[in-house]
This record gives sequence, C-alpha cells and structure tokens, in this order.
Amino acid sequence: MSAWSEVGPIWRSVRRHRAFALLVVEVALGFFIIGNLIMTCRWYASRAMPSSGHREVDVVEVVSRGPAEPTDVSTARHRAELAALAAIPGVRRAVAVSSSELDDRWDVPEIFWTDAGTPAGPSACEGVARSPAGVVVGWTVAADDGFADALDLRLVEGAQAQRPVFITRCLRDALFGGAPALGRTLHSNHAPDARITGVVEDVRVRAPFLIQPHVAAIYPQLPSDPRVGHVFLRTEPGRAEAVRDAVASALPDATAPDHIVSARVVAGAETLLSGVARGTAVLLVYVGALLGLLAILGNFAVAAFLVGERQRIIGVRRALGASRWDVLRYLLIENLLPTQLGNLCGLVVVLATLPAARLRFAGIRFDIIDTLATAFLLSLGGVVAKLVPALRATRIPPSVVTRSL
Amino acid sequence: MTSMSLLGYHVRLAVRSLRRDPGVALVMWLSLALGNSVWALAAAEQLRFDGRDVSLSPTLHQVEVLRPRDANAVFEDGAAGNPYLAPVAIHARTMHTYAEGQALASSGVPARQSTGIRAEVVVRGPEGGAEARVARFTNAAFFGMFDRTFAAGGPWAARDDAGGTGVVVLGFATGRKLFPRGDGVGRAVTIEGRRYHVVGVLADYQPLNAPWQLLIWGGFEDALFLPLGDFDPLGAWPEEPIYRTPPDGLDRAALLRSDALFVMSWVDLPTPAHVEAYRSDLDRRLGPGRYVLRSLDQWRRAFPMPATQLSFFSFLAVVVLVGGVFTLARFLLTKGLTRAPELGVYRALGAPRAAIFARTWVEGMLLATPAALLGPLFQLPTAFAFNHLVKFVDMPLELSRLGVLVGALVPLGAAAIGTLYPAWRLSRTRPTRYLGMG
Repeated sequence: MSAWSEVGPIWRSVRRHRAFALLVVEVALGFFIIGNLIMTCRWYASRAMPSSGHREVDVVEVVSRGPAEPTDVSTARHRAELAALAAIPGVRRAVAVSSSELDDRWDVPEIFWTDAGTPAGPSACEGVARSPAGVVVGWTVAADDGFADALDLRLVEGAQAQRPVFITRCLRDALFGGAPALGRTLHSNHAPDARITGVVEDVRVRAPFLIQPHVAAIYPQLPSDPRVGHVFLRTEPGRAEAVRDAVASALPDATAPDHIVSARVVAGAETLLSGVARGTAVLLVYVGALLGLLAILGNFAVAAFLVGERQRIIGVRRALGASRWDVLRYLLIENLLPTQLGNLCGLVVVLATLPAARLRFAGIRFDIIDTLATAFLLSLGGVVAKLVPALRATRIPPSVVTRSL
Repeated sequence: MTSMSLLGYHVRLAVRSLRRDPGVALVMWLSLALGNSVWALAAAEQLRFDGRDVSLSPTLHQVEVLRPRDANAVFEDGAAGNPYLAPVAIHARTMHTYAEGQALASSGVPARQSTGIRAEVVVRGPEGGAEARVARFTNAAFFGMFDRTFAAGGPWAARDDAGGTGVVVLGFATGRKLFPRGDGVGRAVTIEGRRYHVVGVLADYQPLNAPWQLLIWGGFEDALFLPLGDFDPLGAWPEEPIYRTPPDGLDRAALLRSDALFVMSWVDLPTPAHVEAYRSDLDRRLGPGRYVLRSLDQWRRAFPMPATQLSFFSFLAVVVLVGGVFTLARFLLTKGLTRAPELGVYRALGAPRAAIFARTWVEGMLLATPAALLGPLFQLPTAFAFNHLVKFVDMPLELSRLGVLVGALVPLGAAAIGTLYPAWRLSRTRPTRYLGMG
C-alpha cells in the first residue's frame, strides 16, 4: 500500500478527532511565530553590516573630543590635529568631516527640496520616498575638500566634486527624477541654499535602522559640535593598522585627562547599532530554537500519550497484517496532515499581518524561502516529536489485541 | 463535603492522574515553562519601555507651539506610514527652540516646571579615564515631577538651577559605574574639565521610553543631571537638534539663536486657577492661538506612540503564550478523550459533571502553576543573552517586581481560561462511554 493511498483514510480519521482543530490552530500559531522570527531575523541580519558604498580598505577614522573651548581655540586645535594626523607616516590624505559613517548618533534626518518642484513620475531611486511637495528626507555631512578623493567616491556628474555641495545619485534621482542636477539649487533645513556642483555614486551611513541612509548631501561646512573632530585618513595600501596605532602618539592632547581620542580602521568596523542588529538576529535565532524545542516537547507529550493509549488499535492493525513500517508511516502521516493545514492557516495570518510588520520594519518581506523554511521546520518538528512514540508503537506486538483491560 | 475538602479531593485525583504518566507530565511542564520564559522576557522589556512603574501627576501639562506649515511637514505627513519619521514628528511638535524654552521657563505661574536639554559631556570619576555621557540639563523640580527616586542624597536646591555651583545628580548606571561602593554623594567628579560635587544618585534606571522625553530612539539613559544654568558655561551642544531652517552661522551661538528644536518643557498646573493663569501668561508670551496647552492625558491622546519593533515582539510573545495554552488544552483533551471510557465509569458510578470538570481543570492548573511561577526564572538565560547581544542602551534588563508578577500571573490566568474548554468538553462524557472499554 503506497503512502498516497493511505492519505485519504487517515485524513478522514484524523479530522474526526476532537483535538484535531486544536492541533491545526497550534501549528498555525507556530507558523506565525516561527515565520515572523525568520523574517525579522533576516531583516536584522541584512542590516548588521551595510556597505558604505565607498572603498573602505586603507581608511582610518579618527575621533577627537576635547572640553568646551572658545570657537577660535577649538578651530585651531582641530587644524593642528588634522596637520598632525596628515604627517603620520603612511597617510596619503587627511580630511575633516562633521560625522562619519561609523557614528551611532544619526537619529534625526534632514530634508531637501529644490525650486524645480515635484518631477513627473515616481522617484527614480527605488525605495526612496518623496513627499507630494517634492521634499526628500536624507542626511547631511560636512567635509573638507578632497573628501571625494580620500574616500574614492565615484563621480556620476561633474568633473570633480567641488564646493559648495555635492549630492548622492539617489538624492539627485529623487529630487530631479533622474535629470541632470548640476547647477541646480539645493534647499535644506540644515544648510544654506547651495548650487549642486557634483553628483557621486551613493555612499551610505553604516548605522542600520536609518531612513534612506544613501540619500545624502555633502556640504563644505555645517553647524556642528566644535568639541568633536572627525577625520578620515586614507593610508598607503596595507598601512591602515599601523596608522591607527600611531594616532594616539601623533595627537598632543590624546593623553590629556578630559580628552577622548579613538581611531578605527573603517573596513570591518562594527558600530554600536550594527552590533545591535547582529545581536538581535542572533537572539532571534536563539529564541526561535527555544520555541522550536518547546513546540517539539509539547507535541511529544501529546503524541506519547496518544500512542500509549492506542496500543490496542495499533495491535489490531498489526494483527491484520500491517508491518512496522506501515504503523510508523500511518502515525507520521497522521501528524503531517494537520500540520500542513496549520501551516497553510499560519501563512494566511502572516500575510494578513505583514502590513503591521512593515510599519515597524521598513522594507521587510516574507518571501517564498521564508514560507518553505517555516513549513519545513514545523513539519520536521512535528515528525521529530512523533518519531520516538511512533517507533515505540512499531514494537507493539499483534498479541496485544487479545489482552483485556 | 466542604468546599475546601472537595478541592483537596479534586487535587488528589488530579495528582494521581498526572502521576500515571510522570514523564509525559514533566515534558509538558517543561514545555510550558520554556514558553512562559519567552513571555516573561518580552513582558519585562515592554513594561520597562512603557515605564509602568513611574507614577506621574495628571496635573502635568505641556505646551505645543503651533508653527506655520512648511517643508518640515514632511515628518508629520509621513509619520503614519514610516517607522522612522514617526518619532521625529512627535519631537517636532513637542520640543521647543532655545528661545521658546527660555520664555516658558521664565514664567512664574506653574507650581512646578522643568526645562530639559540633552547634551553629551565628558565625565571623569575619581578613578578611570574620561567618558562621553549624555547629560540632562534641567531644574531641581524635574526629579519630583517625574517620580525619580534617589538611592542616596537628593536633588540640588532650586537656587542651584541658575548654575555655577558645581552640583550634579548621577543616574543609576553612572552612579554604579563611577562609585561601585555606592558612596558617590559628596564626592567629586570632573565634567568638561570642571569640578562638580555629587549631591544625589538615582535609585533605578529610567524607563526605556522616558515620559519626560518620549522616544529618544537608541538614546542612552540620562547619565547625569546638571542645573540648566550650566548649559551655557559648559558649552554643551544639544543632542540631535531638529533643524527647521538653517542657522545663520556655524557656531553654538547661531544654533541657540536658530529655530532648531531641542528643548523639552513640562509644567505642573495643579488647579484650574493655575491653568487659567498659565493660559493668560502664554497668550502674553507666545500670542493667542499660537499654542496648545495639554494636560498629561490630553497629551497622551494627542501623541499616541508610534508602532515600535518592541510592540511587534511583545505581540509575538502573546502568541507564544496563546500557543502554550493551546498545547495545554490539547494535551488535556487528548488525554481525557483517550480515557473517555474511564470517565464513563466515573460518571456511571455517580460522579457529577462538575467533578470531572473540576478534576480536569485542576490537573491543567497543576501543570500550569509551576511553569508560570518558574517562567520569570527560566527567562534569566534569555535575559542574559539579550543584555549581552542587544546592547542598544546602557540600561540592562533586570528582574523587577512588576515584571515577575506580570511574567507569572498572566500565563496563569491564560492557562486558567484555556483549561476551561477541555474541562467542559470532558465533563460532558456520557456514563455509557464505559461500554466502549475492552
């Protein structure tokens, strides 16, 4: 007798069982939980180490923070630090910036708009939102001349990234629908109006959980905390670690009591928030495994009881000629049928609640791989939970049917 | 039989029933305890986010300054559909410019008022190196208005609000880090190179979503508190100002002159007379029709919290709880139905339906109760993993009384309800079912 020919009778038998509906609901709940855990875990993992979009090798980020001083004093200090860092052997170029892609404090975005109003059609940069009034949300950075060269930014428009402002390709596409941006005026709530003189290929803030991190404008100057100085150092190939180690000795104030200096090699550096994303993904795997274990245990308890109390029925089947394999197959199919129905119900619930998930996890998707993985894991869990009681059941001899209570 | 002896009788029967399959009962109990541990962790995190253990006076009020609609409306307009814009939209409506903050702070009408600005400062304790920490520059009244309790010392005096007296209150985590022996009060710390004396150390972490400045996303705890008057002398740069139009310069003075939003103000208006007097004062300071004054309740209704990732996981934890209840119900039902002939014997021998109902229900509760009570304990390994893997703030998740209560009582209540169905279903077993035996 093939497994397929048994499905019909088993299905008719199973659905009459009073706990059948409960099992289907339980599996549906399990699908909802595991499916969402897989989906959110993948979402966090994808944000753990986003690419900055520029050449990160041989780049060192230096942050120097001193106590409050008069503006001219702090400006002079930053200039002296920049010169000292540029003089470190192995440094090709040193540029000061207001913020770095490794910063953790990027909470409040800025806005950009132009005099051109809203271009026809949707934003030419996929996934970048633009308000009906043509306002685009993004990020601003202030950087010295040479920023584009130091980070090897690729120019999309313009001969070289010149002052006063250059923007990323996605900001151009969102603002101008893909039309050329050179010479147009950029308005922002953070910086004075400026003429766009260059468009660079997208670079992004490496902190996860930010809106449109690749939509940015790079200005020569912005209001920023004068106590803090950020510097990017482009080093000779393979010299990044050596340069990083030399930073503390190059800066005269590095050992002052109320001065904080840090230096990191950009390639592979983990920010606080990317660590949070990676940690959350790992935690979700852990919680998923825990819940999988409890689902198996719960199923095992019910299955063990069910099989233990059905010795006579199994004995009858054995007496009528069923082999051990037939009994095993029967019990496993009996479990798999409601499991698949529960998977289907769970999928419907997950899809129904996906908009709510998208409100909390921008761009999250529940794709076919997630669906199959969830259904597979739940089915596997069901089989594992049933396997031990089912194997025990195969050892029930046909003679058990002749025993009375 | 008295009801107590009847209960004892049902408990004995339920215990006997469980002891017939001790291994299965143990596995079921372990499964429920694991499920409860996930629930307890999510509940504890949601509770500390909501700040349920902070009692705020309903007479707290806040002023929203009405501003002309401009390009900045993109935050408010996009908030409903974008998780990143919603907090900015709330902040943009609830925070004030530096000038507005000063104007509001100078009103003498409220019974109490607090103005707050978050800014990073460099702190150095008696031992160890300098560290950058987030300070809140505020008034002495802040601590009373927001129910902040002290482990040692207390707030600075109101006269210190003007600054220059070198006093500081340490937050719980900072106090513990700088003075692990708890002897911080009276000791000195260095802030931005200046000497400050610790006058108080808070007794507990602040709620994750601090009610005095909601949705400081990814923001660390207010590590220390400094008098508002020290904000200028220390040259502090406000944390994450929301720019509306570009400042007219690059320096701090230009930022303070600008319409950037970074000041949070609250007032306490305990009587209707206070409210009326404050409205008159605001008419004079801001202009009639240029503001909305809201009580705490009105404020909460006007600014519902946006959808958070935490609320999503809390919902998942509720589903885990419901799943656990279904597992328990299915277990009891399967067990009861496979032993229906035995139940038929009981019924044939005169056992009323209520007895079968009570025995099944008690059996379910015997499984659920230890699992519920141990849930908060079982959460500890997960909480440990959470604190070490997801360090998005400097306030680790710790067991709290409320967290333990909610972590244990809710699963217990859910199990009590969930067990009703199998108990009811099995109590309907007909006496003739015993004929099916053999």
